[in-house]
Amino acid sequence: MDQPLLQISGLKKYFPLHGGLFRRHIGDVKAVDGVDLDIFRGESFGLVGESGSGKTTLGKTILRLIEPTSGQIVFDGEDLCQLPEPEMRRRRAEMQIVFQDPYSSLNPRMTVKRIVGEPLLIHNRAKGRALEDRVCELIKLVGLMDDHLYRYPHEFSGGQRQRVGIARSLALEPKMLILDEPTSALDVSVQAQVLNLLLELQERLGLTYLFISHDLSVIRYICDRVALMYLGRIVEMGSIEEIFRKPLHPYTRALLSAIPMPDPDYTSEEIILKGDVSTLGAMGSGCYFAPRCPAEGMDLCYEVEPRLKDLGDGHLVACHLYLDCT
Amino acid sequence: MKDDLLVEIKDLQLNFTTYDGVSKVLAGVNLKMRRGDVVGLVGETGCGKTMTALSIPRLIPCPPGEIVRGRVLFEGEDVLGMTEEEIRMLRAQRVAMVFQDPTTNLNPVFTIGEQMVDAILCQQGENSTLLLSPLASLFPSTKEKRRMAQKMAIRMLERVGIPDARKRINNYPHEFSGGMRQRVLIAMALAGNPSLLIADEPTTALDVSIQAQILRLIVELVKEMNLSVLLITHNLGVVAKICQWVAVMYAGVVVECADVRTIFKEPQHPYTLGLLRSIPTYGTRKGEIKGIRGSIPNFIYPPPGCRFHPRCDYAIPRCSQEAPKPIELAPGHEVSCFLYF
Repeated sequence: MDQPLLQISGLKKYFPLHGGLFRRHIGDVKAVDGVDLDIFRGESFGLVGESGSGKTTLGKTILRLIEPTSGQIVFDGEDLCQLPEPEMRRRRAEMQIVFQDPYSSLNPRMTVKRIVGEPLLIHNRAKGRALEDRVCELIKLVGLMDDHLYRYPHEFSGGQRQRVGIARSLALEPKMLILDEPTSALDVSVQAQVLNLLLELQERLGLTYLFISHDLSVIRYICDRVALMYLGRIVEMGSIEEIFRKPLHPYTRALLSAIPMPDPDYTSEEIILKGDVSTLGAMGSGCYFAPRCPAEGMDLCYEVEPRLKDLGDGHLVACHLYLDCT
Repeated sequence: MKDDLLVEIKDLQLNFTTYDGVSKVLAGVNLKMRRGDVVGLVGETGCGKTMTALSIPRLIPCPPGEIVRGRVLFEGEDVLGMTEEEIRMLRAQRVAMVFQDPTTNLNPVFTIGEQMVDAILCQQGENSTLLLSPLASLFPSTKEKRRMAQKMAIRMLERVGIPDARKRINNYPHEFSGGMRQRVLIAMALAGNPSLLIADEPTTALDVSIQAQILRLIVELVKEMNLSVLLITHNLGVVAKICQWVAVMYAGVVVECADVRTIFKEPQHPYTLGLLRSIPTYGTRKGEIKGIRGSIPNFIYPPPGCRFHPRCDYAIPRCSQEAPKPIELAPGHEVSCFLYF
């Protein structure tokens, strides 16, 4: 297999907690707690988890919009963590992000032309006539029209705004896009339009996607491989077919069974998890999922942290239940 | 058959006056609900689902809202014609509501117990300001009433699955997680033993695993308390899971209304069809979902005729000239579309 485009190893991001007298450092919120993953050129990699599982923090840490606590981020053969900030800025042109909320991620005082053209100006890629042509081209690429150029964000619907956000992220011809819940603020009929646009763009421009979402059916529709996060750690990773056909980790199984299907005849053994995601800071040793685990784990679960283990075909799972499998 | 009709909304038309003009939010909504039914009200953002539901306990702010036409009947009584006192008792005892965001619907400066006791006293029709005031504990008779209400609150919290309710009743809302807060709100709503629960996107703010817990709770309560539920949601999966009847709304009109199997297996209105084709499910391949072109119309200058026609693949000239009336295709299955005239 060829060299991965993005290679993350041992990535950690701890947010310090202060409290008590003199606001001492009393602990850490382990938002990203030792993540390893490889993303290959041209693939769509899905990252799934419930709120508070650290998906967005991971996405932002990859771009160093949040400085990682430790770990390595190798993008296209170069470790981003070692780069000084000016150099990092240049590298960010190759890796862009689309945010969740198309209402707050576009400046309400700028026209669409300025929003989409801004990255080109900042990176000195184009000016004047050339800038205008490029912006026109981008706007058409995402399915908007010329006469949208001089309008302000409030004149657009949610789906159109998200298209503007996508056009902006494509301005610098990036190799990779980090899509942070790009469709969760949209209605289903519009979500479908945006998802199809993303698939079309990927094919035309040969993009690599890191697609962050909490919606497993969207991930299944768009991605080739997927990783499930729980409290900052990856619990299972594999190809879409493998994960959906044969989920191994008890968390993955419960999540898959909990998705309501738009089919009244659909029945399945529904696994209802107890409790909810507990606070990140107060975490002991062992598997973070153990207190909610329906598999009634062993003592080992509360003592030793399970490591990701390859069970063949790139299907990795971090659970003591699969200790003996090879 | 006639008497077990719980809610009947007939040709309800609602306008909102805004600075830009008159926004025609509901354009003749028809909805029927029988006792014991779980009815799903489905549609995209801004299609008037919440406004339709709010018209039942007459909670639409007037002004700026104005009900231009139509009737709302609850258990056969005309809601729009009730006096203030009558409507207050209807809201307290017969219609309960649970909203989308459990965080903003609890007061952060009072404990769960205090809020529940107040709600329960109101539901019992206690109206004296003294009883609800901080001075209440000085008077033995009111103290007794509050104590009874507190017991009731604990019983309800236990029923909705709050562990250790006796202690938790003294906690503040921020000490509960999102799912737990939604349970508290459900307990509060159902304490008065209402006949109708309006649940407005009750699980939208929650994670799927918590959503599954809450949905199961609602289904259990429906059976146990002989409750009817009007579930407002944009998630068709949730509808398929717990509803028996579905009304699909688009831009202020109920476009299709049928039992849940018919809606999912034999949808007739082009909008329902488009909505179902937009959802990626198990087995959908890349590029297979379709979506609906365009976006929802402006309500101040809505398209003439059928409000869906600019986005509809099957539109005929007549669609832009007059609005279609609901037609009964089969018993209980109504569609508003000229394709079936």
